[in-house]
Amino acid sequence: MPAYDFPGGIYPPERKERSNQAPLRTAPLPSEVTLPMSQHTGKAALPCVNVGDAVKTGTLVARRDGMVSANVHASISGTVIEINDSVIIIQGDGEDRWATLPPLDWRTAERDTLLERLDDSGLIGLGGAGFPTYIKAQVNEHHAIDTLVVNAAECEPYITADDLTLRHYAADVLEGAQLLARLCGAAHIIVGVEDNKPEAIQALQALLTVSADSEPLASVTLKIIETRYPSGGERQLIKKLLNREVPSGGLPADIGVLCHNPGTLLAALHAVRDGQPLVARVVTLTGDAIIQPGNYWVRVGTSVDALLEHVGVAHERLHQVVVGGPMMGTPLTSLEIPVTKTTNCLIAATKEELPPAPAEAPCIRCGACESVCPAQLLPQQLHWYARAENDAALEAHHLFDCIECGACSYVCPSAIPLVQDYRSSKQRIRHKRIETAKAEHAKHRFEFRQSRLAREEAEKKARRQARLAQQQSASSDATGTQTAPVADLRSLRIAQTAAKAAVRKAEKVLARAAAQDPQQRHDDLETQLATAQENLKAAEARLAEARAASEQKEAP
Amino acid sequence: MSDSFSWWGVLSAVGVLTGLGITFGALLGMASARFKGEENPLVEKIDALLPQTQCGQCGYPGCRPYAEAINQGDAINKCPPGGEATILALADMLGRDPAPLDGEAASEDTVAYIREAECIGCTKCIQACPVDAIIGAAKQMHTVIEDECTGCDLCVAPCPVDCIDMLPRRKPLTQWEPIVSDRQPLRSAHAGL
Amino acid sequence: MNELFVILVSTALVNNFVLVQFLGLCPFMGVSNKLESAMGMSLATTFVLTLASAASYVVYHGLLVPFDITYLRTISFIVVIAAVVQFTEIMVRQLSPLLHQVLGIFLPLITTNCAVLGVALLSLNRELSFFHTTLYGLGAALGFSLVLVLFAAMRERLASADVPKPFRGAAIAMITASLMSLAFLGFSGLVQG
Repeated sequence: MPAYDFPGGIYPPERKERSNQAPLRTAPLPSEVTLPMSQHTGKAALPCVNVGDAVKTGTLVARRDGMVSANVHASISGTVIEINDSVIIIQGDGEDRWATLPPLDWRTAERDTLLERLDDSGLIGLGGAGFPTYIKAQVNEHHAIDTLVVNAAECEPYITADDLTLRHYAADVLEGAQLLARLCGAAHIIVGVEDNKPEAIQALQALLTVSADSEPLASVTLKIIETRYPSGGERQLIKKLLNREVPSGGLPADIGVLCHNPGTLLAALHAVRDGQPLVARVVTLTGDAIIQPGNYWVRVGTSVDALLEHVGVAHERLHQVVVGGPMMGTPLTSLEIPVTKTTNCLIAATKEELPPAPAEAPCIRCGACESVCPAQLLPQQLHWYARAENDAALEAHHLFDCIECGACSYVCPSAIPLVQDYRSSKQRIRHKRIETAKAEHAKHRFEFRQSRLAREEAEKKARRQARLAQQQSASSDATGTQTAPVADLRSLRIAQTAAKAAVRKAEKVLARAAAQDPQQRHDDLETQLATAQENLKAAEARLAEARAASEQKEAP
Repeated sequence: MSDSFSWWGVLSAVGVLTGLGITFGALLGMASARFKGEENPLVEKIDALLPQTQCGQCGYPGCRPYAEAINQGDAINKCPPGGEATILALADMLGRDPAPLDGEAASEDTVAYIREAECIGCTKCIQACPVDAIIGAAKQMHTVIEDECTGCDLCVAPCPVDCIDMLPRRKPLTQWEPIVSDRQPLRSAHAGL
Repeated sequence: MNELFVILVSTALVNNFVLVQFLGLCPFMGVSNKLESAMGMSLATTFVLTLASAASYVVYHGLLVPFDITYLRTISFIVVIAAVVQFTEIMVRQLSPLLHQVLGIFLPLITTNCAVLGVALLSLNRELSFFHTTLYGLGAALGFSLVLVLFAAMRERLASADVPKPFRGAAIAMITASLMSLAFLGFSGLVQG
């Protein structure tokens, strides 16, 4: 295969040998688990059990709220002891009794059944973002997908979870890939692995040499890529493997590609073939302060503290615990938090291992950041504009295409925390966008209210005029109240025609928007249409009033 | 060049200048009539930058009248709900110098809450709300729809039992969801077109 | 051909009207805050300069010289320039009301831009043909535009940069302009005259 490449990237020390020497083990069953309701992108799940309920491993404890959300299941068997807005706490009974769903044969089952199973199992992307898998599997309803990429790059230092998963479960991961390829309609599967995982590569190659069976499955290719950070970023990996570029502000699905983490594929297979919801994942426990580093199957909800105690931590040397990798992870402020579905690594670091960052110095405009950016952005310009809060310039320089990989802050000689600048700017801009949408919405409501009040006023006057006219004709009194001067009938007629045209225009705009995007709500356009209709009624009422007044004048 | 006074010299100078003036004046008049600029859309752009709380703190009855006033040259620093950000955005767009806010800035994003136990159902607050964010009817319970409230606090004063508080939002801004349109017939009629 | 090149290069670069002859500093400092307004201003000034140079030549050689009233050239050139600027303002208002609002008072102030009058008067000294006079005006305008756009780009960057407090605003702008001027001295001797 020809060699493609993505721009930029850095070569930080890998430090993977600490955790990839030991085989995959299983952490002991925790005595208590704390299950967060929001372990995924989207809205938090809603609890569907009560305090005191007995649950088995795999029992549904929280249902997804809306489309972009995921179910949460009990990861041990026991009793629910606490429920609040953010977590459900279960006290374990030590027995680990399972509640599984009926097994399915993914080759023959209906597509909808399989999607429902992914949904029911609370499956989300285990690579870090935590996007609900059942939605991702339906992407081919909007975009045609031709290739499924198995993202086994695992480019970040320290993390070896995917490496060990592939060594032990290569066949299952590939079967999971076939399952998802069937669901999204991809005809090709391509596995991207960095060259620093020889055992995993061997395991995969052994499988690929076996002749494919008679079923028409997707073709599988293995591609070994050079170790460079961040080759595991999906845009960078797609460029490296297929030489396709995901458009700015777009998704891989826009160019026919779907990316999945090996852990997700394994979990998908467990969910479908074995009926096991997502309750456990492989976590890398590493760092100089850990006594038995390695990879462990950990139940979701296990407290980090308990987990670290099991593998042993040299507390006197421990400086900080980072969840995630050293580039994109976050240092923990407390060890009392639980392992979630997206926790792929815990680094118990000493001070020498991950020293605190030196104080920030002013930017010297050296341009080192620009040469390593994998998204071909201008980090230096983004830095200046972020500090100046120049949002127009930030958006013009594609701030939202930044994948926050941290390569730029890694090479910065002034130790400027660039990624922090970008994150806070993104938050500020998102906030502003919502404020603008809010203001627009409020403006339409205000205009509708004004037009409604005007219409009511006009109709009231018209009714009063009609009443007076009736009284006049009844008493045939010539001394009519010299009412409002015969308001210019012509201008009122023109106003009414203009109002009618405005209504037609609003109807057309709404129809066009509804045709383009039938799923989307068009509240603001509907409000504008209603405003135009109120104005029309007001104009007609005024016209009627003026006509009545003029007739009254002409009447004897 | 002659040194002596010459009537012809004076006449030619005056004549040439006058001629120039008249010619150019005529040309400009024709150009001005021919290239009549259209309705100034700047007011729309100014209005789009204002926060649309319709609170009246700027002295104008709503955001649009203030936008029109700014277009006529009024100061850009009169909007407290818009705050510093709006002043800077207006200054940036119009090429004027930003001035500090003339008035007290809104300290927090607050919305109105009706203490329902005390509400007497008088509808005075409903009539005051510029964006119809209060549900209720005469002798019925009144309540504020949080996601529609702009925090203008025009409803607080009219309440005869003073049961309206201005408090911070309960839901974070990232979960802002305006009410679903209840005008279903309109939507279905147009979806078919 | 060689003459065209010489005129263009000498007016645009070697004897740049803003940085070497120090004319037209008012719009140079006043409109260079943002790149879009600088580009709009440079287009307007180019239009005015070229047209004014040509019209001035015609007025001088067609009216002032035959009537022997060349001493009136300053006043008549001002009349010409004022008319051209007024025409430009009408066109800008027609084509882009936003630019018209943003440029504000600086658009009619092109009339008092000493570079425009300077170009008209200085071109007389060279006794060029009509075509070359127009080219002289165009070259001067191109030089002005180039410098204005460069300066605006630099000022936009300076706006985000960490400038020490005493230097912020006009001070750092002046320093930047002087450095640009030094740089442009490097062009001296490129062409004769």
